[in-house]
Amino acid sequence: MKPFQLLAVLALCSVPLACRSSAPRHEVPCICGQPSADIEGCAHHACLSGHRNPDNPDCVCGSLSIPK
Amino acid sequence: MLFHSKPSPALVLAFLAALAAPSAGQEKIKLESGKVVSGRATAYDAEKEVLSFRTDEGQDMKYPLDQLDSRSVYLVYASVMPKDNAKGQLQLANFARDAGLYEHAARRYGYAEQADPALKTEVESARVELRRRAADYCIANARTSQSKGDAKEAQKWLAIVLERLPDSPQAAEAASMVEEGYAREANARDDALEQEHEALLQKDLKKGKQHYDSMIERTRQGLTARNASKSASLWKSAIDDGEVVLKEIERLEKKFADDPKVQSGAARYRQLTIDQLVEIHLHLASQYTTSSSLKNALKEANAALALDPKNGQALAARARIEQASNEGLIHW
Repeated sequence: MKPFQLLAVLALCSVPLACRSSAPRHEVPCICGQPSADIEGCAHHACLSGHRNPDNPDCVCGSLSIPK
Repeated sequence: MLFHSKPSPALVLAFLAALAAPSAGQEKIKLESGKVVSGRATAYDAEKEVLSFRTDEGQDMKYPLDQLDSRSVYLVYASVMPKDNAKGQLQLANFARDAGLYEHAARRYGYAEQADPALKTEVESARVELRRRAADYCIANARTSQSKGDAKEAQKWLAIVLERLPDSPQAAEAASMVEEGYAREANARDDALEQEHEALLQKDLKKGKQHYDSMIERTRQGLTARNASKSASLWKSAIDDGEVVLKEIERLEKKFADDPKVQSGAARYRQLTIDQLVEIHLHLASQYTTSSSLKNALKEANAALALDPKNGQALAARARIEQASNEGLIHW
């Protein structure tokens, strides 16, 4: 594999990375576990889309993936 | 150099697999002791209420729910409860409420009602209790903030009671606390500027300062009005005041273009005014959300963002309004 081909592959691979929880989408941080979140809810993109933010152990949005 | 040596195809594949692996495989639960365990849930025994969990270290653990932190217990229940199970959602909402997860509780009550409209009366009486507890929680947080000398944070909690829970018995107490503390905290923000630019405020910025003070006063009056339309009208007038202030600041900047002291003071006054305008737009957004006027709420959140595009509270408010609009649920 030539160096530029490897670079292209790496660039493509960075796309799924950017979609992970720590990506600053909408720049709204996960505030689960903080008193404000108990009342107002968390506006982090993962929480709003019904998923749990795996980076925050206090996040209770979404669910655990318990096999049936 | 990294790219001068030829990587083996197997290495490249392994690297790609690692990058593509979904992060959802990593889950964290919290034990009652506060310890966080990382890994993934493998099974749940509903009868015995035991969660099986494989840790990152490869250990297979079994956690009875009474060994988990109440948030993690809620998470387990939420994971196994179908959204269309009305009774189940109602029980889950009550559990969330008792665990202090008020917003989650409010949403679950909505799901229960959506799944079975016949539960409306039962849900509504549970909601009354939810609002009472949530208001207590806000007042307690306001008092704690006040005792720590954080007046701004205290005002934030009081505003939540007044805007989101206006009919709660605690709203009168919140209004009287705002009455006491809001103006003092807001006026203190420009104390230093007032001293530095006393001459300017007496002359060139006199009109601007009058409108600035009026904007603060009308914001406070809006918070304590205890009447939604009166509050909205006062806040809109406060926005008009703020716009006059911004125009006055602009005029002053042009007039004293070569005076760095005036330029610096003007920039700081502009920021204070913008911050206040953002706060007012967010009060309006919050009130419109409570009264189900989500379109108006979104307009106000966007107006706040037009003034301060990176404002975290405004970004969060807009995201929440959009979510409420998509879900078709009124939470409180």
